[in-house]
Amino acid sequence: MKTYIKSMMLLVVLSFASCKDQLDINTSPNNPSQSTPQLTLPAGQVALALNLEADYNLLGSFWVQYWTQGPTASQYSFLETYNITTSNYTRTWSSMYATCLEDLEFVRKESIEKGLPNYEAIAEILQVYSFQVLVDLYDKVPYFEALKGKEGSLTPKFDDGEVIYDDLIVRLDAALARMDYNATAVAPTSDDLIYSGDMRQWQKFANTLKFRIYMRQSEARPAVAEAGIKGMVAAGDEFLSAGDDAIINFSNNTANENPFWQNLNLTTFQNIVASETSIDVLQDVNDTRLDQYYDAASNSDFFVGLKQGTGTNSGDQYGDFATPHAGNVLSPTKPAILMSAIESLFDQAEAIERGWITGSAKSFYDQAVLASFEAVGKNGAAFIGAGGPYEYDNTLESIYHQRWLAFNTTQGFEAWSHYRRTNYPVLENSVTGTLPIGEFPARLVWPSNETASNPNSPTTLKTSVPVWWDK
Amino acid sequence: MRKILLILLASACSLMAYAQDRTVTGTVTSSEDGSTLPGVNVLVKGTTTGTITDFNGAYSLNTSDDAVLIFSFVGYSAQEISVSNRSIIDVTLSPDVKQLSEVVVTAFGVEREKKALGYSVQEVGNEEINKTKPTSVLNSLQGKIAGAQINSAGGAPGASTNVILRGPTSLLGNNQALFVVDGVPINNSTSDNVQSSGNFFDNVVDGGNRANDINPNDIESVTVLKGPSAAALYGSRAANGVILITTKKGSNTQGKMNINFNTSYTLSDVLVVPKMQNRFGQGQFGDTGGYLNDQESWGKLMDGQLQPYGAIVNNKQRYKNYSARPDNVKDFFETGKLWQNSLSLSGGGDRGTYYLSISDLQQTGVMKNSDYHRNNITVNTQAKISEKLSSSASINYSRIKGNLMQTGQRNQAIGQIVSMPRDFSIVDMEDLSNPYNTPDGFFTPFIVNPYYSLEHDYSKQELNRVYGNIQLVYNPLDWITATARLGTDVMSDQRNTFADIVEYAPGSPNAGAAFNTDGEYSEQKINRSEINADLMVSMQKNITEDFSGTLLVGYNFNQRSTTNLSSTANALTIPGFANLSNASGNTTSVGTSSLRRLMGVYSSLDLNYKGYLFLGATFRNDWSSTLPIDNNSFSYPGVNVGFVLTDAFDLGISNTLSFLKLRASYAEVGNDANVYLTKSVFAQSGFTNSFANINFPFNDGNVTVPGFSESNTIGNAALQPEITKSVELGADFRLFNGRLNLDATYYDATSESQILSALIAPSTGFTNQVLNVGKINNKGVELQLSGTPIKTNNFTWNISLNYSKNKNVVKELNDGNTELTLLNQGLTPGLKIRLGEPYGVFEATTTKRNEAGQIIVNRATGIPEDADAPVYVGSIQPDWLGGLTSDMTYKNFRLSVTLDTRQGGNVVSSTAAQLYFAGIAEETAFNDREEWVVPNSVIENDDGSFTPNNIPLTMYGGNVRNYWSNIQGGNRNDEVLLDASYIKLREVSLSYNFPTSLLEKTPLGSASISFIGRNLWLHTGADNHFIDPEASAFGTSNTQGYEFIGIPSQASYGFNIKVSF
Repeated sequence: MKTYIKSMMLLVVLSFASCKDQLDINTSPNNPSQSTPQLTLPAGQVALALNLEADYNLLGSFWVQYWTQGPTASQYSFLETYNITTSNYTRTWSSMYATCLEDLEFVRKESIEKGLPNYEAIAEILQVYSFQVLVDLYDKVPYFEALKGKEGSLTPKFDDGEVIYDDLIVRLDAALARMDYNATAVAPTSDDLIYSGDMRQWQKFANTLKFRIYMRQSEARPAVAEAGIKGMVAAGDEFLSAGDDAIINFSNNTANENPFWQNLNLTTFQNIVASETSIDVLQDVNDTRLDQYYDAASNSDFFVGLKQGTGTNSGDQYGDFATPHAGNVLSPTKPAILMSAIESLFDQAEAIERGWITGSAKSFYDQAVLASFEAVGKNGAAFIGAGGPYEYDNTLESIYHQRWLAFNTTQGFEAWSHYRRTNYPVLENSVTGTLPIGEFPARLVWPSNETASNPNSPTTLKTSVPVWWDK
Repeated sequence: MRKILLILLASACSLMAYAQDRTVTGTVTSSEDGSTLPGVNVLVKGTTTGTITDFNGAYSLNTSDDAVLIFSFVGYSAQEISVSNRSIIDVTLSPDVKQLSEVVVTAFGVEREKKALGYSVQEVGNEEINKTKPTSVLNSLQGKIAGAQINSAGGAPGASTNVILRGPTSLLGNNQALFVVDGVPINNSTSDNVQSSGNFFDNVVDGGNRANDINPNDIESVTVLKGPSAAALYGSRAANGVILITTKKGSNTQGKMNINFNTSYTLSDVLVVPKMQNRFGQGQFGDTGGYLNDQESWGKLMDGQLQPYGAIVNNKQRYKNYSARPDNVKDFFETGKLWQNSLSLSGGGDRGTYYLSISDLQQTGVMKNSDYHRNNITVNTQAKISEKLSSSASINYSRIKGNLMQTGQRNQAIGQIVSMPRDFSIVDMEDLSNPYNTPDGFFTPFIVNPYYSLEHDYSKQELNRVYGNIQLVYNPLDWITATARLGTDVMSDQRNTFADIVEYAPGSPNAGAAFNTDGEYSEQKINRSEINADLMVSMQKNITEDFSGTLLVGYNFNQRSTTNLSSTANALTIPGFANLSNASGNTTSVGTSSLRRLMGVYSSLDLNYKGYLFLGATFRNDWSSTLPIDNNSFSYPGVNVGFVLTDAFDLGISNTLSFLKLRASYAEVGNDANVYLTKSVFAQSGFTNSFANINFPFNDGNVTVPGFSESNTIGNAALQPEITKSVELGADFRLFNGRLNLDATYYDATSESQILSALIAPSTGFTNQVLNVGKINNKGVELQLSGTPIKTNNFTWNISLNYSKNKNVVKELNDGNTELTLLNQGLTPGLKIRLGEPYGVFEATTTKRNEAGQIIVNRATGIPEDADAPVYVGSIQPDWLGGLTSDMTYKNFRLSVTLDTRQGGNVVSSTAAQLYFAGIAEETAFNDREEWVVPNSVIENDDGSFTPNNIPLTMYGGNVRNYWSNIQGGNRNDEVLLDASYIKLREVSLSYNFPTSLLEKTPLGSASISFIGRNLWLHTGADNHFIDPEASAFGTSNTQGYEFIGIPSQASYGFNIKVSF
């Protein structure tokens, strides 16, 4: 009897023990619980490229008036009415923080743990790049307390743009110091879609990014800008030059095409036509880049631009207007350009012209303009030559003007940031703009998916309120 | 023990009555089908002498010659019969229709007297379910169950049906009622078709929910256990209530086989077509001649003149009169046909019963190439193995084959149909050999010929499912019953979706029309299986003379597993070839699976005091694999009281109040989590932005790299279960001897500790966090009023009314959040869960007004601007629900009518948005499209002051069109938020039962013929002249309230013939 009870109890105990095993099955078979820097770095890079191509370069291109909303559709009318609200770009904000920055944060932290300084440096540099984009859009954004969701910090405070900019420089310097150029050092290969692990090119990228950050402050904190740039040149830092462009390519593979093209392909290409503003300027001097930036109107074979913001009020047909160049712009393989040699050359020209560093502003200016023509298979020599319309005249305005022309089709977001900083070119309000004449969008509005869940969000500001460096 | 006493007494009595002593024997049978009735009480009137009939319905009793015997049995009318010197008395008992409804099936298939229950249940029998031959048993319940919101998701054959009892209890989890067949929960899932792009609305296909697979003919009865009190024993998933289905098992027919055959044929036509203007036809800017390839109706007034139209093919263009074709949409739809046949064999003998059925359902839809075939085979058997041991086995096989209807924003036909220009005939586009109907020759470059899509594209489903159970019941002693039951539900669902390559000639002007000219083909296989095992012991005892009780203890094991495998060819090479080898690039494959287990122990105690006071208590404890392994146990109790006042205080004598019972109960039900929420994971990277979609592995033209990103959701290692606590009070009145009955219930249920994937600030690096916060409350009343106003020998009129009102409030969300987003697909208005509001509130953009109420318009265009802040208007919750069923019987004729209404609540209509956009909605003809200024409108000046607006909206300037078309783009989108109220004539049936006298010479035992109709008439709210508000784009998910240009619902009518041999 005793043994019988004992064995019964044993059975009960055993069955409960195995019960626990039976129920320990809640690890998802569909998702890995761990990743590696090699697997997550390309994801962070592509996420950044997606946001630039699909959203930020597009709004930049509208607001510096390369393109305007087509007359027979209305997907981007809100960019013409300047009606930016808390419901715009919510998903892009989320993609920047929760995908791009968080993935890079994982790469950075994991690289520290595993002792991979080059991975750590690349992740750090791209995070700095992304945060600068966010500050340029929103001024104050969560920074020091951001990306700590897993540690329980769910309501990060917003930090001032100026303070963030300073820390971005600190981080870039740290990343530069960390890089290991030895051939034996561990570096990414194909998992780095930008430079395939070439750390020298990353070095130039980081330096050019510092230049960009300093130059942005030319009106707000000129002393800081000058000191920073002077210091870099004095230290012999190298910047991006021909062949060093930081780009991410897309392909014809389904779900690997340029997202800007994907959006237009699935809504309608009729959403975007050439803006009269840019067409007129290019045609005035018969700039040969015109037929590489735009395709002629299909109804007339002329290059006709639509007045910015007219949209569906024109009563005209889509075919009456020039459109962005099909092969260069409206193509599934249009690459995302994060930073270019051309912009680096213009930056250096501007720094020289401002008297911050020594050198020949004209030399850099000429190189930049020629590079821009060359990029679309044209020869710009006649334009910059003596008596040519683009001959350098030792003014900052001519640098600004050429930069504005060069960024058409490639770096719309940067063009818009330069426009806000330098107030060049002088633009007219969009025809359907709802801001007072002379006021333009200067920022995006903090999106509702952040403000609804973060009580530390600042009170909303109108889109015409400039960011800290926009004077 | 009691039996022995009785026998002793009986013997004593018989000894005393020595002179008149006799033994009476006999058999008791049922008048219905002649089967013997075991368990019938046979009592000698005025004594305690009695016995019960045995398994063969036979009894034997010692009594006196002048005794009177009372034969009584639950569900049958009692009979008193004098012995009158007879030794053999056979008795036939008739079912007491009124009393039959007194016995209901409760949890675990236990039959109990309704009067003994301390909570609200409602039952519907086989005849009521099959009255109008709906394809799904769920649709047969519409309008009949108080507190049940039952919506059919759309008009496609096989469309899913949404069942919510007493309002939603779970913020983001499952709110559908649990379906139980013969004591075993079954799979009621729906599965979405795999999407190749990130946009949900590219291709929406409703694959049906699995409870719709059950053959309604096989159902004996359906009991609705509405709240936790009734359903607690079922544990998790029962917080939403339980729909308990009992299938036919056959009965003891003394070896005779009953053969039943049922055939019905119904036709269906579209019930509602949107109201459209018929004055303006094809064109833009008020001009028709210059826009002959446009697909919108912004042209000039139709004047009947002969004019060219369509494309120029072979240098020829066609001509037609420029006049309205008001019925072009209606004419496009075909008449659907539904033919159902069902054959069943049943019967039984002393040692067992059986029920076999086979049925076939064939349905074609109202659009070409849509159909639904369902076959069911059922085998139910019961066997008595020995005196103490009996067993039952049930196996059901369902097979569904369908060509499902596709809706959505790609080339699917239905979206193109509703926005055809008003002067075009759609049916003329059907002949695809006509050069004007080919992709190249079609009249517009903006859409594809809808018939082309119907002919070339499809979404096929083939589903095989087996569910069943075996059960052993052992009675070691007559007061102990031990039951072991094992049930399983296994399904394999294969979906093949094909979108053909659209070929355009080089340079064709129409080349941009097709959403995706490269075609696409995907194969998807979904396998689900569910296992349920139950071990129960029940003990029934008379504790004292007044007190009796039943104690039930049990153990339950449940396992659910799913695998989902799909492969998609994203672009095709050869037109018309539906095979994965036809991929012109890669194929993408996705495979996911899930597994969950739950173990529970439960017990219930029911006490009965003198037959008028009932007390019940339940308790259950669950261990679930979806909760953290070191804290996965949770328990929940319940208690209920029923008090029959009329029996207690002998009030039953009065003819007015023949029965009054009061009920009160409190119960808790726990609910575990969805799978895999306790840990944070990584996922293969895939990003979307509007229509763009980037997936890894990523090919940049040079290398292909894999990529894994951190999931945007933070898992919760301390996850807790959800608990619903519910209080229920009710009263059951029977007046005038059952001629008038009223059942009233009040309930207050709070669901707490809701598991949410709450939205958090993206700057944290994550967008969601799994949390246990959230409280949602449902409070309401349910009334069921039924009566028989007229009852004569030949004519009976029964009416039953039900009414329910549920007030649903979100009481708590997680800290910092005052709202959650229910819908993330970029639709406007959006759908939110907000604190203090009912579940599912619409977030809409309304017209901007100043403080004086004047409309502020854009200073350039004169079109009203959007208000700066969104407004929260309307809700998916209705104000109240009601139903009315009227049943008239005259001799052998029967006319039955059911009406069903929902009042309140809103729905977003994409059809309305599309009709505004294309200039088809009646409203767009405002002011005959002559120039007009927005009434009561102003322009806002830079300094904040207002000037009266006099900017005219004109057709030629494009502003009249923009005024209306902007609505589809999201501006002023409160215009497409419609009132979802409706009244529907759900069922009409006129039937004739052939009298037995007519059938005597035939082999038929019974026969009936009926004319049936479903959804014959619809009345909608004032602002809704577009759609049937019952439609839903999201099947049975929580995101109700959206209609996305789906297949319109239909009215069906036909006949049904039923015979038995």
